[in-house]
Amino acid sequence: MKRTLIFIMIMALSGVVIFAGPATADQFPSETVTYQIPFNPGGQSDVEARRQQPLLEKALGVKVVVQYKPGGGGSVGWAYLVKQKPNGYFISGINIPHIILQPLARGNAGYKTEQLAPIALFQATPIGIAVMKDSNFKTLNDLIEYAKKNPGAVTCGGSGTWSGHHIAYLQLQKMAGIKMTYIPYKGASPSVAAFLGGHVNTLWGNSNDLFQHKDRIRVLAFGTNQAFAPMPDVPTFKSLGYNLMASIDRGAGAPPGTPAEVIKVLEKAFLDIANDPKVKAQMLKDGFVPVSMGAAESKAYIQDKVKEWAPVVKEFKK
Amino acid sequence: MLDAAISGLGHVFAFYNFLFLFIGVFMGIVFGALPGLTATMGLALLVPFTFTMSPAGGLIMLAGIYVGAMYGDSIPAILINTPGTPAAIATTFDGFPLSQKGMAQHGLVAAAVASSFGSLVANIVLATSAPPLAEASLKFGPPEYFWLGIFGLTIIATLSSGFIFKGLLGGAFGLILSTVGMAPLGGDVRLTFGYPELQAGIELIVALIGFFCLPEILSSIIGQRRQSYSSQKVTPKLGVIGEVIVSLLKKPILMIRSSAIGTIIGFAPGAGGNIASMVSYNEAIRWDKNPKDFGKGTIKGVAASEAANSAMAPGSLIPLLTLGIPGSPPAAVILGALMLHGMKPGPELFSAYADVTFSFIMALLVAAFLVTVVGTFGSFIFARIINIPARLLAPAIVFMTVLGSYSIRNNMLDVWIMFTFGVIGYASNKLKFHPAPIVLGLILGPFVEEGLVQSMLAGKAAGGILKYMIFRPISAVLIAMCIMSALWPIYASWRARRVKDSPRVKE
Amino acid sequence: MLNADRIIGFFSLAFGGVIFAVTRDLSQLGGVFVNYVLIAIFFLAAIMIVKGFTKPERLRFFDSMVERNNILIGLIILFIYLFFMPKVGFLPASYIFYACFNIYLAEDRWTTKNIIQSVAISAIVVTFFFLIFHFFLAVPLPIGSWFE
Repeated sequence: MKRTLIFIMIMALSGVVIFAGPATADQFPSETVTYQIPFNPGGQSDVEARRQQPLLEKALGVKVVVQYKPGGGGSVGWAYLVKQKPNGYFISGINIPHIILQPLARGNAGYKTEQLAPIALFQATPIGIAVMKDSNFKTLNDLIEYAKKNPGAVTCGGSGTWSGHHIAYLQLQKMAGIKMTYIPYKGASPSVAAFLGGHVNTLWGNSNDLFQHKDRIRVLAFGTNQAFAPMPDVPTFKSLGYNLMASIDRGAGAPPGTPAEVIKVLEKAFLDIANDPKVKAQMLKDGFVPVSMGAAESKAYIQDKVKEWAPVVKEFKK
Repeated sequence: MLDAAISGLGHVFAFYNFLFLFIGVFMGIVFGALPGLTATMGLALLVPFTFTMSPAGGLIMLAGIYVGAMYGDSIPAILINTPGTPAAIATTFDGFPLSQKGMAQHGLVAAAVASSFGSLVANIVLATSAPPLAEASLKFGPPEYFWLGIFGLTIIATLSSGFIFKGLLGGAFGLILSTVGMAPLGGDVRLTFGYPELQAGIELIVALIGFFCLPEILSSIIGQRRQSYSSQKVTPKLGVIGEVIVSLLKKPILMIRSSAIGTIIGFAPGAGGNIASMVSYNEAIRWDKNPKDFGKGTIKGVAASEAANSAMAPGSLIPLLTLGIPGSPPAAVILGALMLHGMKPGPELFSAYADVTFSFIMALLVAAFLVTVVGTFGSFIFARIINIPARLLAPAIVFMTVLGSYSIRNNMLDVWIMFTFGVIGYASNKLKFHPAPIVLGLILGPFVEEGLVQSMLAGKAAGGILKYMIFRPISAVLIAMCIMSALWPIYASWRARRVKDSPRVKE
Repeated sequence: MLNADRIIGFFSLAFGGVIFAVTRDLSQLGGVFVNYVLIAIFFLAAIMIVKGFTKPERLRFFDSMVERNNILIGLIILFIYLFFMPKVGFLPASYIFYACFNIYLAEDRWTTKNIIQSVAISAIVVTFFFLIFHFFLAVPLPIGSWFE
């Protein structure tokens, strides 16, 4: 009886060694891939990842597990990502401008922008500024004129500090020479709720939120190169004379040092999904802009953005 | 609308859908009950499974999970003084004393019945008046959240055993703890002492386990070598069910008030059920003829807390379904599920997709009934859990809480935080300093801070901070409530003294 | 006999002081709330200290030496568990912890019967929950740096 129990214990303990065994890596991918979402479940990054999950599994031929690690606007997840083994079995959603602005604005975000190895970018959410339909501001110029005469009186709601919304607000202030008041909220949903409830005059919003409520609001401008396809009547900042590009871009990234062949495989999987017409149509229907940038293109894009925003952050961070 | 409701009901009772609902409720109860697992986690895990089902089927299962979890969290609250989710904190106040008296089954049945009642009331509200209520909920701006937070803090008066300033001090500690992490405004990273994981702040459940579960284990099981969690063995009896139901039916005002509080707090976006149950508990004490009963183990306390926290769930779905703004984290996951099925929140949910939407709402209702059934009959099994000798149960609980704390955010630091709070909670209990106000501060801190700073910003832009924060209809009501709530203890003791001195009491 | 109020009061003062010191570099928006709460803490701490000198609440922390030893040993076992978990991995640490804790809590400590019972139950309970969390919930649990 005693011997049987000891035997069971040995079996149980050796089970540990088996579970802890090294990954057999002959051909990537041959094991489950973990796709981390550095935000709470239910958010936009999550919804997109869930749409990609079955397609990724088909493309890569292995199971893909979605894991959440929310916190710090994504920084906790990215801090975790850069510590993982660069073998391609752990990837994470990445968001621009977050991964650029967080290390710039915070002393220690837990990671550095250069450490994230981009795989692909597949979605862009243009940022626009909106007012309620019954507001006196019919165009962006109306707003700017009013703000010139009443510095600090116009309140702008947005999501987070040192986020895409905040940077867009800072850049517009500088370009137009005006002063408004930015009121950050803890996410896109609360800022939209506050705006609809009349607690802020204007909203810096993501295209999908603005699109969803388009019947109640008037979008004054979007920060894109071309007009936003689902809402073509809205002018771009560029067409109104302000060289303001603002959007939240979503993609996927890997830990630093991930070998190029591994990234290539992942990149192909993501780009195939991004180029799928059904996926593109779904994104447009929800108010997003489909994008398909590969690893090298994404890296260059990120570096451009770093150059663009580093001085802005430094200037306003006093 | 009535025919949509009936057709929705039909969907719910279709064989597979009903099976999914049952599975959902069961899983929800499990997720709610295991400390460390939350309703949000359970929902997030099962959303992928729902892809392959029809939208109605998938949403029906999610409804089951949500409702089940709102009941499940009362089980460990009653049995081992550990709220299964933060929404059940107030259930421990009377639930655990009940089980200490050997009346665990009473507590469990009361929780089941009250949960169902709360769910029922809130669902009826959801089904009938969702759109106008959602518009009303938008009127909650920064000042309203601030005053709501302050109102929540006045509950400390009830929670502090003895000297009220001790409780306020605890609340203040909690408020400081809530600032750990990224500042909501200003973007600073505060009090992380070099740990990047702390950028997200202190996880509430970890703090709950630390402050509620571990001190109990440390003091009774380890310190005093008690052989079992409760001083009397529990023998579940069928009669208890009837007894509890009857005594709750005799208190309709308590039940209705608690459910109303839960529904209303539920649809203030973001407020969530964490404070609904505590506010309801506080109000139950305030308006009861025998306030001294509370805290020593009375089913009134359990019912007040559970009715509110279950009513919160449908309440939080009101702004979700009409405006796409989730009123709580589980609602956010449901939003994700809706989006994945291509259903966008808004008026079209109630017109073009009315069929599916009402299936979902009816599922919430039916799930509430299932909870009564599972809960009352399950009470026979659950209540017996604490009969297990402590030397087997306690290590299992510690092990599970370690597991749970780790898996919430996949990080070891949370486990250490849980351990630290456990020691602090033990020490503070020994110093007669109840940790509940600390937890309250931790929960309310974000509301108070965000409300305050956002109001300051907006007020400055509008030309007057104080003017901005006070002269608004909802704020005015809330401020009046705060003042009343803060001064109430003075009024109550004056009244008690008057009654004592009055000659009539002598007979 | 400990003067509970004075202990709480002085501890709060110290706590407030530490928080004050580390938060001086916050921006205006980030620091305003912290400052208000700190003011409250200092004020309340002062009240507690005053009460500690005028109408103190005295109590005994541990009811007996036995209790103190029990708590200390319990905490040490727990601490060792958490400390070694990242090093040896979740599973082995938990098996050992559960078994030890079980043995410690029992009345008859070092009997063979007790030890074997504890180890067996530990194996069953820990494995069961591990399977649920690892396979069903796909939560990655620490493997243990010694094994990597």
